[in-house]
Amino acid sequence: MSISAAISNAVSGLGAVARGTAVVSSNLANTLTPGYAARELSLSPRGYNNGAGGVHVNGVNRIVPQMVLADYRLALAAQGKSDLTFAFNKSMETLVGTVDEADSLFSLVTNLGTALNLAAGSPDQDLYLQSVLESAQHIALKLNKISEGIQSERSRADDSIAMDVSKLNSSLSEVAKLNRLISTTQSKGQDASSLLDRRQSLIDNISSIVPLQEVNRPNGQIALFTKGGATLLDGNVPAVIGFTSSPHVTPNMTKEAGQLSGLTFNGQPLEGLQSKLFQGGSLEAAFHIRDVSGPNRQAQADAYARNIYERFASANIDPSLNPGEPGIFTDRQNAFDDSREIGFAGRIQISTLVDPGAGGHLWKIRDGLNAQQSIETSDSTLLIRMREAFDEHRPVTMLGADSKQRSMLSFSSDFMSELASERLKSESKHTLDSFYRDTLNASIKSFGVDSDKEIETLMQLERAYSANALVLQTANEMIDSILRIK
Amino acid sequence: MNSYYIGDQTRALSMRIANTTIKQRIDALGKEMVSGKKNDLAKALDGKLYLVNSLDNRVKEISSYQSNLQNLSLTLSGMQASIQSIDKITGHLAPALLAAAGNGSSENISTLISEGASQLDSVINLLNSKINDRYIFSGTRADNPPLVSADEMISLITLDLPELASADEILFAVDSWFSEGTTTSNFFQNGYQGSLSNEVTVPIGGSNVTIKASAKDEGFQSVLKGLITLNIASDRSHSLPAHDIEKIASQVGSILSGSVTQVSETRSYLAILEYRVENQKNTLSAESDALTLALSNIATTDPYEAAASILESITAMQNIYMLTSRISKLSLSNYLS
Repeated sequence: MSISAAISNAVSGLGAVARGTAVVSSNLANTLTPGYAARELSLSPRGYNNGAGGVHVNGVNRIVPQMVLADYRLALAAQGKSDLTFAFNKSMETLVGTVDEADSLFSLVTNLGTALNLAAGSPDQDLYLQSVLESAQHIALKLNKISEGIQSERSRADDSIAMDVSKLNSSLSEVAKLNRLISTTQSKGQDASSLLDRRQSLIDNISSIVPLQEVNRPNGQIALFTKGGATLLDGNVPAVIGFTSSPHVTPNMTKEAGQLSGLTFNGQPLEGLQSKLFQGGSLEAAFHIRDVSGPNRQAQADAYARNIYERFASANIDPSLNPGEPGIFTDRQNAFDDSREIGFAGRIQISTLVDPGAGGHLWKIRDGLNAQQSIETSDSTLLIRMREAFDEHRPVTMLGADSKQRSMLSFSSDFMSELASERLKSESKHTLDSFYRDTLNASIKSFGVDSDKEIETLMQLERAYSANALVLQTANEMIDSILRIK
Repeated sequence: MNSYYIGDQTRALSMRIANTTIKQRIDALGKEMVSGKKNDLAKALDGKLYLVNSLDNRVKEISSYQSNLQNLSLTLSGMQASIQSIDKITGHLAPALLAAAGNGSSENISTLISEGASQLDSVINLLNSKINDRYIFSGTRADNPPLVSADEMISLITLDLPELASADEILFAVDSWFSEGTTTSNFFQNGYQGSLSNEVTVPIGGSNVTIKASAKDEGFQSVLKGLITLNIASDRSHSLPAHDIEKIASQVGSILSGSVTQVSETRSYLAILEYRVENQKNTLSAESDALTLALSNIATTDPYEAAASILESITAMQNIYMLTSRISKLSLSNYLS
């Protein structure tokens, strides 16, 4: 091996060390950068031709645990789904109220029962009749609020779908662009690591919307598929997902009736089983809230409103009522119509006939809604009948189907228990999904920058640099020695 | 050689997750300590709320029934007190009038007639008693006094009576004013203002108490009839012959004697109601105590358990702080010089 070859080898070593130092410094600078994958220098010996040698820098490798990353993305999707589901169930429980809250639906119904008891005990006392009126008003307002809250949740879900779709489309375009850039950069032999970081980060960001699967394609490109099988990106042009959000969702609006938008995929509407293509993330959860859970809760609230309405709208309770006439509870001051059950919880009101604030008379609660004058001020007959109607076990009619018989209290309690159970179930799933996501996140981060390791590498690089420099110095001295021969 | 590295961020992440979890636990336990109630009762009951709801509802229901029972108790004892006073009046007058009429002592008879006449206002006032701003002998028309005043009643009865009426005429006039059929008599049309048919019914939890007693009861009508007769006779005592006065004393004595039995029956009936009310009060009170205790056992937290859990969590938190502090100092760069 000639001295010049030794110098060449030492120079290649110095070059590799310098590049390695740059990688270490970049790693250390990004210790806290989210989504940054640690890099390491990839080296190989240079070919030993004609006595030459040295080191060749193959490039810079990103340390990414692909399997863990894939699982992490699926965990993000599951988390995205359980986040929305839990938030919805929590919101439903809060709307109806929990067991120890003074304004829970159950407490308000209990209040009406006790107000009726007290009024029946002292029917001539306006104070107690006022209490019956207020308790009934609180129930009607609570049901109005529940209905409004359910529709707000459906609106929020609709907005969430629109945001998810918009984010998905823009991120897919960005990923497609990065695919092209990475391909170009790598073909020029340049380091595309930062572009890869950016692409990974973009995909991570949309993974909570729908579970994604990444498949490597030649030249550093990737293809993206949903777990359900939709091809989001395979080549240069991403798929286009379409959705039109509705400014305001009302109880009667459904996707089936065409009032609410579904997804389109490359311009084609996704129908029936095709919607399963986007299952598993926040997108599915939002659709479920808007089209299934929300309407189901609305149906329950409407059935509840109908149940309480029907208990008091009867001539058996109030003989002054004409057939079909509403009792103390009304559908916006009219009789309830079976065909308008959807959304009744949002419309239920107390009859103005008994509300002095609306020109009515409190004594009509005691004497009958159509009574012309109050004579028997201590007659509790009607109040006792109302109380009995309140306790009576009667079938709960929900959208035309009768279910088991319940009293007002057991219906309220069952409604609350169901919501509490749903909340607890989704909370438990949410906690589990969070834990799984955090575990995988920690696992990915364990492949991130470790400053101890970088400093250790730096010390090795320092030693290698000194050694190569010494070779260079020695070779230089050897050449000098030759040149000094006279 | 296999080497294993842990990225810097993973250490921070693990610490942060542990830190957040423990802080949430301390927060929940702190709330339990302060309120004395379980932080998430629905969770503690696994979503099965029917038991707590039914206990809570029953406690509130009992409270409303207790209030009704309290009012009922007052009403019944008010009625008993009034009737007792009426009983005292009639119990004294009836035998005295009968004895005086038997003896033919005109002076004594006159004194008793005057005394009886003066008691009419008292009896009407007793039957017009109010408790809690409610006329207790008016049935379901509790905002009206059941009886018009004594003067009004007498003037209505004596309207068609001749100036010098005999004992028979007075007795007939009073008797027919009260007895022309049950609800069509002058008494019901003009003297009685309470409810004609409806009775006060009060729910007391599981059953209702109905008070079937009012100023229209036959016993009270008899008392009123007797005292009104004495009143009219007293006004005309100077113009009536002695045997007419004796006759009136004898007749009124008999009417009042009859009323004593009828009024006693009402008193007994009310006493039974009072007994039922007291019994129900005791039953509900015992039930309320038992249910409140059961509710408290379910909903409240054990302060010792909560305090011990807080201490445990605080220790875990301190360990996390110590570890975070030490790990953050643990870096190779600190050992290089």
